Parts: sequence; C-alpha cells; structure tokens
Amino acid sequence: MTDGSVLGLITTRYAYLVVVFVATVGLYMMIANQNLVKKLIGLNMFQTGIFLFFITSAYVVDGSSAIVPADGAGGPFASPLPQVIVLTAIVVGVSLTAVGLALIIRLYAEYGTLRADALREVIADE
Amino acid sequence: MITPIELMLFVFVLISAVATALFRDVLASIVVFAAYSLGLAVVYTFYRAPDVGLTEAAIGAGITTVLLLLTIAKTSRPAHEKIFEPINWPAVAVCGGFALIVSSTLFAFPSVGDPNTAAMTNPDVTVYYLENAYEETGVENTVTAVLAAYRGFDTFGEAVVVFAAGVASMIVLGREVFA
Amino acid sequence: MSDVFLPLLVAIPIVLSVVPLIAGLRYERAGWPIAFVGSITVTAIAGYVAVTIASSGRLIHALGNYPQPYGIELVGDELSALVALLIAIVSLAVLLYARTAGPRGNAFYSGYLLLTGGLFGVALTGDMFNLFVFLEITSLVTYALVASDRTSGKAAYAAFKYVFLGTVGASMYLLGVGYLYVATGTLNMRDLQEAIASVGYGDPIVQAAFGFILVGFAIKVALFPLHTWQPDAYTYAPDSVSAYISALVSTASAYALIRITYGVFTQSFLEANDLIVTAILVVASVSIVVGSLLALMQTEVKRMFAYSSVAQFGMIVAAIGLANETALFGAILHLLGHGLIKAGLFMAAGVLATAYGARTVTDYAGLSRRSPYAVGGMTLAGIALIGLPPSIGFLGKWFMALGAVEAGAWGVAAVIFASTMLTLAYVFRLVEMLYFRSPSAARTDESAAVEVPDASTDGVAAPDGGSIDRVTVAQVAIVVSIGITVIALGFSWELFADYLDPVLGRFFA
Repeated sequence: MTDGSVLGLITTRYAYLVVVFVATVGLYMMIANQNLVKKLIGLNMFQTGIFLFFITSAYVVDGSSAIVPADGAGGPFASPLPQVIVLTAIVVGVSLTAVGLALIIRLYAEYGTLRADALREVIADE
Repeated sequence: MITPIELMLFVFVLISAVATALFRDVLASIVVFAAYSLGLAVVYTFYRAPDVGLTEAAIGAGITTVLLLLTIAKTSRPAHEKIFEPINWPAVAVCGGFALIVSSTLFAFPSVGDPNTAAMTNPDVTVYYLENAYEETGVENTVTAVLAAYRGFDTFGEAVVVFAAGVASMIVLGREVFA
Repeated sequence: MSDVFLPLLVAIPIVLSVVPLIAGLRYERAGWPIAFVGSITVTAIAGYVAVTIASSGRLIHALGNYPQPYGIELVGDELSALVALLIAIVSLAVLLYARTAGPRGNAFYSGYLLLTGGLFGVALTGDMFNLFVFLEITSLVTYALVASDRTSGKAAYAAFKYVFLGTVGASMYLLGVGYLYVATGTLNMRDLQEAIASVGYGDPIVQAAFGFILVGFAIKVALFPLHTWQPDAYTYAPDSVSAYISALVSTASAYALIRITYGVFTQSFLEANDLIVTAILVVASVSIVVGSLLALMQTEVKRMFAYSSVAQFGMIVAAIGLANETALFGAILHLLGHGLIKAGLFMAAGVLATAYGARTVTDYAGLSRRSPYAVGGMTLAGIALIGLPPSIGFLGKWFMALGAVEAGAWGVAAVIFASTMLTLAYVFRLVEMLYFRSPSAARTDESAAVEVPDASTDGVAAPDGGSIDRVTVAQVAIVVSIGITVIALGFSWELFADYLDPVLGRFFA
C-alpha cells in the first residue's frame, strides 16, 4: 500500500518529515543556544512537532472538518480524537512554558545572567 | 501527492523554524517564533482542524509570545553585533542522528491523507464518534463532543494543568509577583 | 459500586488544592490542616480500595458513563491499588514531616495536594493519553517544588534542567502514543492490548512506539545516561520535597512503564522482539553499575542517595525486560520498597541536617550518640537499601535476581549482586561514621549545632511554633516508623504474592 523507498517517503509522507525536521530544530535550540529563553523556545518547538504529527494522522484528503450535521451527510471527515489530544496538549505546553519562564526570572534575579554557560560557571564556583 | 498550498505552508514553517533557531537577538527570535506558530495554525486549519488552528493561534502565537516578551522585559535582552548565531556543528551532528533515527521509523507509515488507515477506520473510535456524537451529545462538532463529553476527564486534567501552572509560578516566584 | 472511589482518589486532593489559596487570603496557616484532612481521607479510601480489590477483583470505572474505548476509564487492579496505597502513605508521612520542617506557605500545600492527586491519576488511569495529562500535572508541580526554597539559586537551576529533560521525556512518550494511534486507532489500554496483537508484534510502527515510550520513561525514571536532571534535583530541593519526589515521582513513572509493557504491549511483544529486550537489559545493567559507583563516590549524603536511585531504578527496568513472573514480582516489591526506603532516608538526612547542619558523610561522625533514634531509623532503612534480610529491599532484589537466573540472564544476576556489594560499601561507610567515629575526630560546625529534642527528651516545636531550625518528635518518629516498616515488610512476601497473584496472572496469561 505504501511506497517503501526514500523517494516514496518524501512524496507521500512529507508532513511526517516536517514533523521530524521541526522537532529536530527544537532539539538543536535546546542543545546549542546558550540563552535560556531561546532554549525554552526550542522546547516549545519540539512539542509543536508532535502536535503536527497528531494533526497529520487525523487528516483525510478531500475530507472536511469533523462537524457532522444531524443527518450525518457529507464526509469523509477528519478524525476528531487526535485533534482533541492536540487541543489538550497545547494547553499543557503553554503551562510548562509559564513555569519555565518563572524559573528563568528566578535565575536572572539570583545570578544576573540568562546564559547557560555563565550560569554553570557561577554555580560551580558557589 | 503534496498540493501547492501544503508546499508553500511547509516551506514557510521550515524557514521560520530555522530562522528562530539562528537569530541571535532574542526579541527577533520570539517574533519569528510567533510567525512560525501562525504558520502552523494555518497548516492545522488546512488539515481540517479549525479548532486546533484557532487554539494554536491564540495560545501558541498569542499567549506564549506574550509570556516570552514579559520575561525578556523582566530580565534582559543582550545586545549583539552579529545577526545570526554561529552554527554549533557537534550539536548539528547529534540532532542529525536523532532526525535519521526517527525518520527511519516513517517508512511503514501510511501516506498523508490516506482515508484507509487504522486511525480512520477503527469502528470503535473515529467511526463511532462521527456516527454517534450528535445523537449522544447533541453537538454537531465532533471535536467538541469528544472534548467535552467522551473525554471530559482529559479536559478536567487540562484545567488542572493550568491551575497547577499558576500554583507552580507562585511557589517559584513567591506571592509578591502576583500582588 | 466501589468503583466510584477511584475517581474520588484523584478528585479529592485536586479539588481541595484550591482551598489553601482561597483560605490563605484570610488565614496564614490554613494550608497544613487542609492538606492533612485531604491526605487522611485519601489514605482511608486507598486502604478501602485495596481491601475491596482483594476480595472482589479489579474495579473499573467508566468516567461520565462512556465505556471504553469511547471514553476514559479508571482501572483499579491489585498493582495500581498497592501503588495508590504507597502514594497515600508516603504523602501522609511527608506531610507530617513537613509541618515543622517546611517548606512553608499555602502555595506549597496547594502544590502538595495537586501532586498527590496527579500521582493517583497516573496510578489509576486506563488510557494512554490521559496518562500523559496526569504525568504532566505531576511533573509541573514537581519542577516548582524542587525550586520551592526561594533562597537557593542552585535549586532553581536544578528545576530548570528538570523542566527540559522531563518535558522531552513526556514528549517522547506522547510521540509513542501517537505511533500507537496511527497503528491501531485507539488509546484505551485494554483495547490497545487486543489491537496491537491483531496488528502484529513485529509491526515496525508498534516497535517504534515501544521504543519512544521506553526512552520517555528512561528519562522520567532517570536511567543512566539520561539521569542528569535527577541528582541535582534531589540534592538541592528542600528535604521534605526530596523525600516526597524521590519516593513517588519516578516510582509512578516506573509503575506506568510496567503497566504499559505488560498491560498494553504484553509479554508476547517482548518475546517477539529480542533486540528490544537486549537493549533494555544492557541499558538497565549499565545504569545499575554506574549508579552504584557514582553513589559510592559521593561525599554529600543526599547526592549519594540520589545516585543510588539511578541504580535501583536500573534494577526495576532490567526486571521489566526479563519478562518473567518472578522478576516482575521482584520489580513490584522493589518499586514499593524503594519508595518507602528513600522516603525514610531523605527524611532522616533532613533531620540530621536541620539539627546539626550535617550534610556530608564526614559531618555524620558520631551522630548516633546525639540522635540515636533518627540515626537508628536511617540505619534500618540503609539495611533495607543494601538488601540484607529480613527487609523489603531483600525480597525485591532476591526475586529480581531469581527471575534473572530463571531467564538465563546471568549477566543481570551478576550486576544485581555487584550492585549489592557497592551499596553495602557506601551504606557501611555512613553507618561506620554514625556509630564508630567520635565527633571530635571529625570536624563539626559548632555554630550549626542546635540541641535536638530527640524522642528521648520531651521535644516539642519551638515555643513560637514557627522555627524550622529544630527537629520535632514527630519527625524522628516518622523516620523510625519507616525504618521499622521496611524491615518488618521483609516477612511479608507471601502476603504480597497472594495479593498480586491475579494481576500477575493477567500479565502472564
């Protein structure tokens, strides 16, 4: 049913590749950027990759959104469950961001820097 | 096959993601990230998830951006001479490895938009919701029906997470911040 | 009808968590009594549920009357009942300890109640995505509690690191759930078990799903080399919080891994995928050895206990990978035992730190004479940690090692033995300091030495009731009772074997 070649992967599962790419850029930001705020943006981006995964899994070509009229006409429809999951996960994500930012404010008040490398040095000397 | 709209949207998302990572100035990074979120919101809407698109626009591009801006207002925004961050090649190698491993699991995946996947045809989940949601809950929007009725417990958990974030911020920062 | 108690276990602490904040507007000290009422109530319910399940089998509650797989259900079986009981008892013990030890403030008690409710949610849910939601509730509160000492920048940095690793772990888990959804189209655990069997255990998407879930939980339970958040978090958190999270937070994740491995993927999946099993055993074995060695190298006591947890969870994960009934029985015993042991050890360390400012191994010289009861409790918990008989630690390690031998995994058995020797070394070093070194030989910080009203004297809280520099009888009594409990449970293996028989029977049908 599906094409197992690399070309097939690119032409028919392109959205999943975008998922991987976005999550990878997020991972890169968490590792490589020294600014704490940018690290947190990276964490956010990593999560958005997974949201896109769920939305892609719910999508049907030529379908419509999952609003079914009383007579059940229309369709095919997108799968509602992954969309519900993403709605919840987005809210969970922003809550985590809020806590991460609160910690950043605490760290800045304590050490006066937002750079991870500088922080590590100060903390090692404490 | 990929449609021209999808192609344009994905190119926009990819470029804004990379730009977010590479801009040295934090403010620039935050602004580009907001654009990235909006791009994703349009992708979600195109993928027939208008509720999620709206939420992503409001929360991802809206609230998250405001929170990020408040944080740099309360802390600092270091000045830079260069526009872009230097690329950290060891990190690129690690992330490339991660990307290759995850991509290698995608070969067994169904095509994007395939109507005959397990997720689409499971008679007890997707099909059941689409066929019975209106009758059982009286809501035409199946997403709302699942969110509020069938999986109301998740939504309860979601509300708890928001409350927990408030409590957590109070624990971390002390009450004076909220006074 | 008993199944309505399952949602109550989750809902009571969460609903009550709002009260300290509201009452706190008028009453400065409203938090503790409210948390206490909540904690007593859920302990009673958890006990009742555990007894009911023993007599009438597992309880299933369909939330909102939507049966699975349309809705979400809570499942109380023998395993989740024991974990819920552990959560209830340790929460109560930590609360009694925290009354005088701190941290203070109504926000802390709100966080405490949220964490308790979240942990019950993890223990009871029967749905893969709902599990993610509750894991995130617990994590979110844990990050904040680690940083709840607002004078400590190190604690804030430890919490910040924890936010990143914890969230990446949870996201990997969520990705694994997404893969399962693509492969099967469902999220309910019992429904998934059948769906995965019909898709096939060799399906690459199912295999990848297990891989992502495993990596996610490896971060959450702090297996080497993904453990880097854990030692700092346990070391710099306030003592009450260290005791609470070391006993319960990773424990809940390890429980979820057991539930998903055997209740969703099943033993047949492990049997069909040798490569995955080998990977689990190798990573877990490395974790056991490295964790034990790092623990041995530490001079700071809390950090030593933290690395010890890396090794203990390595053992539990190894036993999960062994895929036989004996090893899993041992893993469950060790999971429960380790929770109690670590709660006792961290609280004992907190008592000694509060009373004498003792935080390193050398600070502990001769403390047995000054605080015989707290040190006695710590020693008993230490014996259980080594795994000397009779103790719950011995039972757990014994059955895990026996399971390794049964499975022909001699390497794992050898690693468990080696770790026991290393644990003996670092616990003995502590015991030797406590009992056989005179305080004059080692340096003591006189300024930090406050006379401790130990259980031998009639100790009460400081007259103003507000100083946390003093140790109360209640704190020492909790440490001692945990010490006695973990030894006494060493005689209980038949009790546990009988109790867990139905759930093990379902896992190894």
